[in-house]
Amino acid sequence: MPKPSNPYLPSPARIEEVRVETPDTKTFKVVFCEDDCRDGFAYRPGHFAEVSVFGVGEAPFCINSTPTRPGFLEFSIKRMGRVTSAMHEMMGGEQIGVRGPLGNSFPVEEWRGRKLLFIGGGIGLAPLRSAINYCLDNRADYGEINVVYGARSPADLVYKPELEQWGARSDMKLHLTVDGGNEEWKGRVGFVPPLVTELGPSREDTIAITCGPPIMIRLVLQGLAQLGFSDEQIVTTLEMRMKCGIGKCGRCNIGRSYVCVDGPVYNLAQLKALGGEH
Amino acid sequence: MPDYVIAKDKAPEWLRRLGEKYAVYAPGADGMGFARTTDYVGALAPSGNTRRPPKEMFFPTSQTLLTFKQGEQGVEINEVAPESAVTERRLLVGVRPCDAAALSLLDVVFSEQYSGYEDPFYRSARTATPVISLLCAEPLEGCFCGDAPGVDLASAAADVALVDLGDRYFAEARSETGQELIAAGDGLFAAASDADREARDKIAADFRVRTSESLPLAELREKLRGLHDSPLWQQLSQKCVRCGVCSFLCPTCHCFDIQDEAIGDEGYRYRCWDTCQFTDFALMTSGENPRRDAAARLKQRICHKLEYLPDRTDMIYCVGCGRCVRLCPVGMDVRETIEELSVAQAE
Repeated sequence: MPKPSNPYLPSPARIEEVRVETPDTKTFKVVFCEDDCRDGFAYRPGHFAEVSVFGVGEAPFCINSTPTRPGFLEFSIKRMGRVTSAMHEMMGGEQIGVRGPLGNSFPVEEWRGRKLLFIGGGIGLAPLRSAINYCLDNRADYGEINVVYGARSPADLVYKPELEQWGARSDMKLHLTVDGGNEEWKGRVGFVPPLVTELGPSREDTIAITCGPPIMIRLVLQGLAQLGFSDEQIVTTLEMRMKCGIGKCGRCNIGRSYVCVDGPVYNLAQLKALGGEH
Repeated sequence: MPDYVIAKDKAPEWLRRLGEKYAVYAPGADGMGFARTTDYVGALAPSGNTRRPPKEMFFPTSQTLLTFKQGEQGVEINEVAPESAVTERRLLVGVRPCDAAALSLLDVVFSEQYSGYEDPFYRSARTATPVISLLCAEPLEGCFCGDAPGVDLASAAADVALVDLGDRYFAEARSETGQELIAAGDGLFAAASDADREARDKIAADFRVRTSESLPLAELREKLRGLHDSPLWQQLSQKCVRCGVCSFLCPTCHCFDIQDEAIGDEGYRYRCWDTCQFTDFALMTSGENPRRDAAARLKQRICHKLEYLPDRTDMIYCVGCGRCVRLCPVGMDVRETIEELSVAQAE
């Protein structure tokens, strides 16, 4: 894809649909206003984009739709700060700006023939969702697919209709858990890391991809190491504060690596080699 | 490219001719920064350096990136053409070798090769603005360009590099544009002799000796890798009051923020200088802050210049201009920081 001559210029896009995922998270289905923007936006699972609410600002969000289902982009946004709160006020038909695709992406080609273990916590399922659906849409290319997903409560689980579809599929396994259940919750109660350990996935030919709150990631990494996973077999996607998204503004680096252009996807071996702060 | 000399009393005439084609900017009389001038004698005043580096001529403190207008039909996004950032033909005269080197370091950061994207605003300003450098007569307190591996004092990274030989300037054209600038002084220049070249080299070498404190700027890169968890950062950063002067006035610092401003339905998006020394620079909306204390922020500033950027570019992002030494309100001295780190034991 040719690089834009002005990489700071967003393309206008229209919100087609707003889905309430949890009390604080909404998913926005977005369509570019101009055909050539839509056709030129060649993204891969793991890419992110800078989303503009004009007059409020720009913020980076992972694209959680999959390029195998073209025509639109989806972003799941948790109400946290200025831009996210402004997004939450927006409704179908309103216009935003989208700049991207930015960053690197999941090495889905390298994963061909491998077993995939996705481990997500809370809104951390968003970047995994793109890769999961990509792999499901290219199902024959991949081995066994397991998805472990947990949230604080049943109400905090995102993509519930999709979770039901995944749960009903025979060609993948979904393992759900919540930190604290309620009367209606018939599923498992407990944290994500022990569930991973309990499942005891074989490290043979497996790639583990994890995203979630820092404490969950830390414990998941420990658990995977105990199961014998090597650092190269563990992939994660990072969050840092970003502005430009194109490796110029200088704030998102971890050591020499700019998360906005060299990341956000890293395997654990790469992360350890960077040293410095995480 | 051939080297030239120009008699000192003829240099103002050269600049006057260039002033017919260009808006000439030189170190301002107040010493603050580069200013538009027609004082072609003062433009080549040899002493001191400006407090503000010339980077702002290419990377302004604040710069509009786009404008927008919300209407019934949605949002109208209007590009600010990067070429419109500079509307006059400018010429910078009297840029010091440290600052000229800093511009070539910024050229790398804003290039496509560096991160996959070219910054069109910086590039168009740079392309539109030739630079004539001049080696200082005297170093200022705190100058240590003699220790900066990327600073060439004899042949500064400019279109034309001038060195004061006493009664004449040595003038080296370092680019095609530089050749054209010298051609504008037709009849004023003579070809440089070997003796002129030797004199130039000797003056530059002497200046290097006078501005060297044997700081291991390049060598620190490997050493810093082992010092990320050192308690020294805490100790060295204790005095810091987080004002950000060290980075705002640094000729190689280039971090920026992007913000929107709107009144009613209309507004603009701009970028402005920012600094890693501010507490919220890396603060995420989630509340996570990977650089929450002054120690982590000093480490970021030092390692960014002397380890991370050198790892990416193989260049050292400190040119020894000494501004952060001279202008820090609490007397933090990067030379001392470098010395302490260079003798520290890895953790």
